[in-house]
Amino acid sequence: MRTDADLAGAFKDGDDRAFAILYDRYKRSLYVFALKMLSEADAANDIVQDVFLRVYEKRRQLDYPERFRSWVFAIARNRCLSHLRQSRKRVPLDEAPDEAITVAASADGIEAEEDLRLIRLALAELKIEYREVLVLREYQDLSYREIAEITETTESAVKSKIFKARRALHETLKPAFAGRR
Amino acid sequence: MSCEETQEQVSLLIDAELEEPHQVALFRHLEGCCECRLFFDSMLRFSKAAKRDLEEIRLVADDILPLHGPLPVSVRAAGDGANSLPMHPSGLTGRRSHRRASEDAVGALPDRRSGWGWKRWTGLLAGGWRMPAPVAIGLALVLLVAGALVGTRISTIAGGGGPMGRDGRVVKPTVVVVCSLPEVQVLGSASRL
Repeated sequence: MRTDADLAGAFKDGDDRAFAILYDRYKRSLYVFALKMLSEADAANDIVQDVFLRVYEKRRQLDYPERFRSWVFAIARNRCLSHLRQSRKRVPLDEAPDEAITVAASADGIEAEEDLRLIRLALAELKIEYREVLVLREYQDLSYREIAEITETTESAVKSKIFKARRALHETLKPAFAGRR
Repeated sequence: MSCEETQEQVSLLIDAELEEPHQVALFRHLEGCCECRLFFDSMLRFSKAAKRDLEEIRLVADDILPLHGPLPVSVRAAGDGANSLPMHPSGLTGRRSHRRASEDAVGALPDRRSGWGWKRWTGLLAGGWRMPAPVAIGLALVLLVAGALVGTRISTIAGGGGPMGRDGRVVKPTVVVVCSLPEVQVLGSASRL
């Protein structure tokens, strides 16, 4: 399998096929990121299309093909922040995020379903600066270095922010979790 | 070690960034601190739920994201070659299987159309039409036999010979080959001259 760096290098040199593979490889991850950032399914879909259009148009600006993942997530983050600035919209805690997903009953049981529901709500309630690092870390499994590149900060700042995000999340979840121990 | 420090280390532990010597002290603290254990438990549950959330969203994403996105035609064409996925008339993908999604997650599939497999060869044999190998081979044999038959009759006629009828006249057989690919019909008829 060709690496991202190979594909990104080929794409920069004009290989559209490489770009199509990168699109297929990243569209879901970017959708997850945008959905968690915005809590709006339609907006997340639009962001993904917009990001790839920009990536295609700005291919010449891809100086480090080996950092394609950070680059594409940085574009997605900027688009999400821009969208949030325009909409100035926050999701109330008593309103479920618009994720167009029905949590199906599974072997994990009702408790796991309840955990999932609570966590979605709690995450949507977090400050955006906390939410973005937590989503990049927990959902995208990115390293501190990659998150630092995406959010244009230092690794130690990322480490600190992830911790604060977890503390804030814990404070929201504590009453529910403590009651079900 | 304070609870603040412990919870900071819990965060590092979950991210696999905590070095082993610190882990011993961390777990020692957790044994005797209910508040930090609650934080640890809460974060583990969050991580677990996040993984499940991720999988569910990715499956939904397959249904709602366009196959190629709003990209130039050349990229769409390249995408067709890149993963051989059928394009829905609406431009949207249908729900794909878990296997399909996991394949996509690790990378695009190889180009199944680029090889020179039997389908490509039989396609060429059939003059560009796709047909199964047995039909193509049968067709080739029919053409071969028909060609040989015509050649034999022509040489017979050219040589002045030929089968004699009961009345002593030469019977000139005429073989009419109607070739209409992919169907071939050999119509044989003999006319008495």
